[in-house]
Amino acid sequence: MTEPSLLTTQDLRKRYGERLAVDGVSFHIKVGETYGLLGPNGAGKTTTISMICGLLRRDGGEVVVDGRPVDIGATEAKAVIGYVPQDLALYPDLTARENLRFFGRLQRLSGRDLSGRVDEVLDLIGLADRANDRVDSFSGGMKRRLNIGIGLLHRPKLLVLDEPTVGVDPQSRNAILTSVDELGREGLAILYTTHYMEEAERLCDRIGIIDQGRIIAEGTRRELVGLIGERDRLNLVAGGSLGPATEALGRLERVDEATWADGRIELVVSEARTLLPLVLEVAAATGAEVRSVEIVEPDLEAVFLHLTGKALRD
Amino acid sequence: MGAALTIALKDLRQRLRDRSAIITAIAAPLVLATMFALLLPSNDGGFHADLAVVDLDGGPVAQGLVDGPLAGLEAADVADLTTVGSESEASTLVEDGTVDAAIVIPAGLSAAVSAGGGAEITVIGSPAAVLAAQVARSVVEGYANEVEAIQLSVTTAIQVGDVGSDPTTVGALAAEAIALPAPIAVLDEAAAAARQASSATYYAAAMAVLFVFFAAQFGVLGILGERRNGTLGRMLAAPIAPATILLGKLLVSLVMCVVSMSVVVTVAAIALGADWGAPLPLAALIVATSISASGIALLVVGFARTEDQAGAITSMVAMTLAVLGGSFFPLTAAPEFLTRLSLLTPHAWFLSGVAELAGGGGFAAIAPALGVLLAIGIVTGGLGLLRARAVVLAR
Repeated sequence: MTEPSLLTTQDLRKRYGERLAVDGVSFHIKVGETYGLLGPNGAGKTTTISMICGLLRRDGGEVVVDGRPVDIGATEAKAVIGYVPQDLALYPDLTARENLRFFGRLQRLSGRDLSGRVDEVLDLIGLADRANDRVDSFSGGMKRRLNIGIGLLHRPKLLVLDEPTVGVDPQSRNAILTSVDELGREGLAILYTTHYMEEAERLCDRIGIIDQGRIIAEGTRRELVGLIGERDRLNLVAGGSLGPATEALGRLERVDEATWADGRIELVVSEARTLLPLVLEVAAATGAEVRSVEIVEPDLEAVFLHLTGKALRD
Repeated sequence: MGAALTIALKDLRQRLRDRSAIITAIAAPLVLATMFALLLPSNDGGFHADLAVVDLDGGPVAQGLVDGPLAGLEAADVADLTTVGSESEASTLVEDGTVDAAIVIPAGLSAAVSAGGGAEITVIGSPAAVLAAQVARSVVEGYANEVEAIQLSVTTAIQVGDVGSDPTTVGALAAEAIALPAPIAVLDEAAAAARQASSATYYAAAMAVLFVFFAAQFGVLGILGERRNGTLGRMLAAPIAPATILLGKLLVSLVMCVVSMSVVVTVAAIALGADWGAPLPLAALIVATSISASGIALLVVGFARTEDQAGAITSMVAMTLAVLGGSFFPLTAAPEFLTRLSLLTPHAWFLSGVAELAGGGGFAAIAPALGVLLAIGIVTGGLGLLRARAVVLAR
């Protein structure tokens, strides 16, 4: 039996003047699933998230969370969602505990439940020892952790993270990714937007590639890579007679293309790692002296490039 | 309501930590009120004028003025009357400052009125005592209106044929009418015109109402601050209605306004000897003024894009209303059109309410001021809520 969908978006649309920011976005997230929206800046990720969280009126389409339709005034549906905005949304002149207590109260927590949950979240984000310090005395990484912690306060069923690692140092970034990974494994449904391909590959069970307001491809990493034939590249830097070697390598099974130029042989192959010993053997036998080997396996960046003709960071 | 209170308490905590709010809402009005009260001429002890009266008529109409409204001013200890024999003598007394103003009743006034005609009563005022001349003019105008009303009723009687048109009969009827108690309380009107708070009270009230507009911005301007800070989106993502956020901010404005005015009133009473009259009507006046200021501030926020822009517009609105409303100089010395224009400002109504209370009035006396202040607050606040809701949802 398949898990029911916790979030369903159907044909979401949003227009700003002449520009169609979101153009018919549809996807779903199952209970316990981490779903990534991967796309470059300006692709429509934040607008989509804003409509999902009920922050923004949509021009068309439907959002249902935990069986409840979402709109700006849909308080019951909003209570299920934990929202972590891209920019820090904190009060710098309040302490970490005061920030958590304030947003906790808005999330209908009170009394001992609120106090207990604030302490739990402070432990979770590693700020228990700085709980009573003002936020403006925090480092950027600490602020990021608090920003995420606020979204977790009310034990949401769906955590929505909008590019949480933008502008974060590598150490803090890694800590954030580890936390999100753990939350996902604990069974929380997560919607994670990013323009970092490696984050989507590391964290997400399924990924929707979004560009110009439309989801242009969706699936697991393997399914997406399969869209472009799932072929690896094997690059050999070599000396000697490369022409005959390239010709011999091109005749091998699982080698689809073989070209050489400037002391370099490039092969398009299937399963490069298993084929490598045979390639080296044939190259040596045909007069090529291999100095180094590079295996390039297709990734989401390549998928995006294949689908849109541009790089993710364009 | 719980979430609105949570937002308001959070904001108030922030404002307490932000000393600029305390400086703007409390310290600044107190300092300025003290400076005004100390540096400007004092009329503590209430308004009092010395008036000269020249009765060149001696008839019943002149007698009605002297024995009626003018005697009433004397009885109420608002004015002392000195009878002089000629206009030139009266002018001299005004010029040398012996009296503040003089009222010259021309010869033949009663006869002219009895014949259905008119005559001019002259008020001679001194530039050094503008308020006294204003009071004298107000009393005479009130009496002139009274006489005109009586004339009208006499004329009407002639037209319907109840009495004959014999001039003697008409004159006797007019004299009889004048002798009757006035249908309109001229004395009360004169006393109200003369009512003015002491310098300390006036300037403390003027500064309190001026700065309450700056105090009001600390709440509702927060809407734009939350938007800039990104926390507005986070609030909207919580299970609360957008209107709750606005209500929370409006509560902060109201509390800031009430606290600001209350502190200024209390300190002015203790330190400057300001007389605010009955405390409960004063509290109602403060709350009504705070509602009015908060409504206007919310309306400003609805039209601004940034906090800086809203702050600049608020300053402009506050200063313009303060000038028009009499926060910098008493409107008794202002031209009539300005006096009328001032009625559009909360400042004028608050100051008139304070004057009423300082003069011993109660809820009934300040009812018009309360009504207008609440109406301004409700209208501007209502429009402001509509505009500000769009600001909240504009992302």
